Amino acid sequence: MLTLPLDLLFLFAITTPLIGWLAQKVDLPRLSGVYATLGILLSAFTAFQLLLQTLGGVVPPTPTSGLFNAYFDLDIFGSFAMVIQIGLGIAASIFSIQYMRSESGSSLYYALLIGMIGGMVGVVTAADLFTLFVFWEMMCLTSYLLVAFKNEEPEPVEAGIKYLLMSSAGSATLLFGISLLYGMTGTLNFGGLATALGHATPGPWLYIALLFIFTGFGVKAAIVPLHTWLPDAHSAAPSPISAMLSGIVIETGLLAMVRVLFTALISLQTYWSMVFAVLAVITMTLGNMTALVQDDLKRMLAYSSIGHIGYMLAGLAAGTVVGLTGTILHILNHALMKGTAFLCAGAIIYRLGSRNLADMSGLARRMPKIAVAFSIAIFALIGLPGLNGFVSKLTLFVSVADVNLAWVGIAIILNSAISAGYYLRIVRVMIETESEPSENLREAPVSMWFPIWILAILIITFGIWPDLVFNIAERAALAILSMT
Amino acid sequence: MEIPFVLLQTILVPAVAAPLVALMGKRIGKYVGWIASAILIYTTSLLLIAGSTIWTTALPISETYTWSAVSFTLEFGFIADNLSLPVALIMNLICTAASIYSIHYMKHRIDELYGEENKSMHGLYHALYLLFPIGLVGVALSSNLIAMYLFIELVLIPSYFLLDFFGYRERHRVATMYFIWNQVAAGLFLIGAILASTATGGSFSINALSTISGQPIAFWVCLLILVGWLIKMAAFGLHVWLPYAHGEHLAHIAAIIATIAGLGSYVIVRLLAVPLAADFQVFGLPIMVLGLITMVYGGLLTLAQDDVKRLYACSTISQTAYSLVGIGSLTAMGLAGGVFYFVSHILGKSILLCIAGVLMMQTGSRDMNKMGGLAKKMPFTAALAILGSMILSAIPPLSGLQAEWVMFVGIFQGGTLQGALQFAIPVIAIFATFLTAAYTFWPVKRIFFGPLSSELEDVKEAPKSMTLPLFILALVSLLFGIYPDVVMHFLSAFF
Repeated sequence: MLTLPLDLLFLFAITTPLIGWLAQKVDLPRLSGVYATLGILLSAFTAFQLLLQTLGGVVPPTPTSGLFNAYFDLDIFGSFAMVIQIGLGIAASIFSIQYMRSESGSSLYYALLIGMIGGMVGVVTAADLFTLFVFWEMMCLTSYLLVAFKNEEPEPVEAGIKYLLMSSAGSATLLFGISLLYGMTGTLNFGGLATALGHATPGPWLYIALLFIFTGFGVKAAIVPLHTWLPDAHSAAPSPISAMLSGIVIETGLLAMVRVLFTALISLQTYWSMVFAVLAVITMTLGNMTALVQDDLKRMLAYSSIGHIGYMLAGLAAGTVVGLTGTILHILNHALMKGTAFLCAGAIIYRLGSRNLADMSGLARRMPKIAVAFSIAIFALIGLPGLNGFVSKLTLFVSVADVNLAWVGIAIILNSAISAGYYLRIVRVMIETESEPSENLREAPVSMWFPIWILAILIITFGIWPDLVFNIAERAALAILSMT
Repeated sequence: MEIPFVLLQTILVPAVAAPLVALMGKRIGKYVGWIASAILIYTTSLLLIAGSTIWTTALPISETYTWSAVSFTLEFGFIADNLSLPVALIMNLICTAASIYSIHYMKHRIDELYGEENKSMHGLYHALYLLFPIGLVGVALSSNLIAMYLFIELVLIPSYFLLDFFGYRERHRVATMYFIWNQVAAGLFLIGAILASTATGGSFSINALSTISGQPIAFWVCLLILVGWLIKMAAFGLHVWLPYAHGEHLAHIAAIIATIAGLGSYVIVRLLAVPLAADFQVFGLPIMVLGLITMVYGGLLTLAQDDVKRLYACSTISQTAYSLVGIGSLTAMGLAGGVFYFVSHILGKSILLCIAGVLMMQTGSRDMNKMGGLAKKMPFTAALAILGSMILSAIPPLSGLQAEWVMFVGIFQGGTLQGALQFAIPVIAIFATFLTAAYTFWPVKRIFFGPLSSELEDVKEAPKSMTLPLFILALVSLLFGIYPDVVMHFLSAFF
């Protein structure tokens, strides 16, 4: 028994292949997808219940007996992140029902998808570094397989191998860093690490541990210069998986890093906050600049994710309540925005069969539902006020300006302006009126536009009423800061 | 008369109506324009009522709605006082007139681009158009920097889409260029606003701005907000985007873009020249010099144009700079004159740009070399063109003269107090205004007088729905020209 959402995810991850085998017998190709979606929905429901409990001040009971005794700890930070992860999982899973219909072994795909969500949930709710690492590996392994899922084509396989090599090197580095921390303190529990290292004068080993842990998580979070796997993997993966990878998997790297930074490594804060400030600017600038020259829609979105990771790093650099609030809020908002954008790209690719932006001209006339939702996501990504991206970028800017890092804030705003250059290109191609749109284009099926529109409506809702989630993000940030 | 939520209504009613207009357009086509215009007439009358309340009670109307209150307070605050109300009212009036004008104009343009059966484009156009008055009035009425930023950005969306959907010639490329220039400008404004808030202790309120006066950060706040708006005002060196955007936009949207450019003078007065007067002092002379250079440069650029739309576009560069010279003087009269001139200029410029649209529609050409003698065929249009030119060249009895009068009195007041250079600038500026007469009346002569070429024998007068709204704008300008107190009652109470 782990926590309830995790148990449900495991249960469905194991049973989905069985259902898939049954589905083949009775010739219902969509059955395993529907079953998996139901499982994720159920798990999301329990996760949401847990979030409400933690917000109400109740500490939900974590397992008290068995092998994993007390290695989970549900605070607001963990349960909020969990709801985002499972929530985006629902959208990706509904979308996949139609998108992956023709793939062979789709029940395996769903099992891996649920496994990846389970891995992420474990990472953010773990109470010690060992549990975190186990679930971390679970998330990584499933994501390699999902990237290379279309294994009859060379591109996904190549991208998968590249991802595997870089990310497993990262995991090994991470494990080494964790072992250093254990060597220094004799515990891996976050609370124990915070007491042992939080107020002590940092020794040289702590710097080395920081380097290793930062590199380990940084590969996953695609912080420049550890980002090179991302554009290949995110563009070669099936679109719902790209939405998951860009929307929440890379951010989980940041969330895990936040846990360690603000407990074991808090004594080095002045040091790493400066490093993060510099890396934030480099990451956002490089991501946005490279996105400017892409012609492949999914590669463009992948590079834009690197840019957004840069914005999120700025909040960590500030390291204050406002900064962490901004980072957590931007993780939620980016999950919604990038989730919508990648799912829209998926719907377009599903009809068109091409990822090339130039082939998509005039699609707004044939796929208006997708085009409008895509435009909403794009304007939110640019940071136009009234949509959710604006509020979190503003929070990030205020947080860095408060701690005398205004140059990082200025970089955020200039980058937002630059990024308008490539984001708008997508809108412009979609609404172009000169050429006749491709014959293949017609409105996406309802199981595709429905999850997209749910996300798009959330983008608008959280843009107009930011306080619905702002409060929770702030309390999540306070939960992290109160760990030391 | 007390109307509940009068300021919120002027913002919210068009916002709620916009999606409905888009949907109705699918059924009723171009007639949806009358619904959109009726909504704008309603908001204009709301602002008129608010204006009469302020006139009689001399008290500002303010409304505040909280948006987010977690890490820092974000508010939607609206304030209608002696400065913001006349600006908001005139801009809304121009939007209303242009909306009625556009019903017929857009029918022509949509038929040309998308075919006569296309009804949904009418809905799309009028729905997007409704965002302009929301944004413009919002910027004027905001009592909060973040709300102001929001409305500045809101205006960008319809400008971008309308240019991309309905503009002329190289519209796609120009639309992107326009968006990025303005996005950078808005970004600079936002940086300035947030820097100010860090110094005021997290408050984005405009009232709190004066508390940072005297601190070193105030200089940077002034600089960033100023440069951001100088881009939007197309001051010399930052003007590259404007002739393109004006030239390729729809005629009446170009008028709205000119209004956005001019709005800079209001924002600079509201945010910098009054609350941060002491810190803004150092920018006074550079602004005046920049304004003067832009005036002369814009004027000469205008004289060189053959294209009837680019002509008035380039003249916007020059005319917007007049206000800059007035503001740079930093005297009460100069500031009031700068805002008055902005109001007067957009009235005249809207008339002239819309006339350019009429000419393009009726003759099918933008080249002035091919026109001539059109006054016989289109007497109303010619009369409007002359009235518009009179406003710009400050010929009585229209508002241009009164505005320039107030402004130059202010500039000379500043000049006599400050020194020789401050005195020399207005003298040169007055001579520069003579250029205006040349570049507004010479094209009128080229277009409307002289022999009629044989190709233009069949040209007809524009329909009443296009000329009447413009006559109303001219009448308002005439009212301000004869009774300048209508505007100055408000402005002099503010400064």
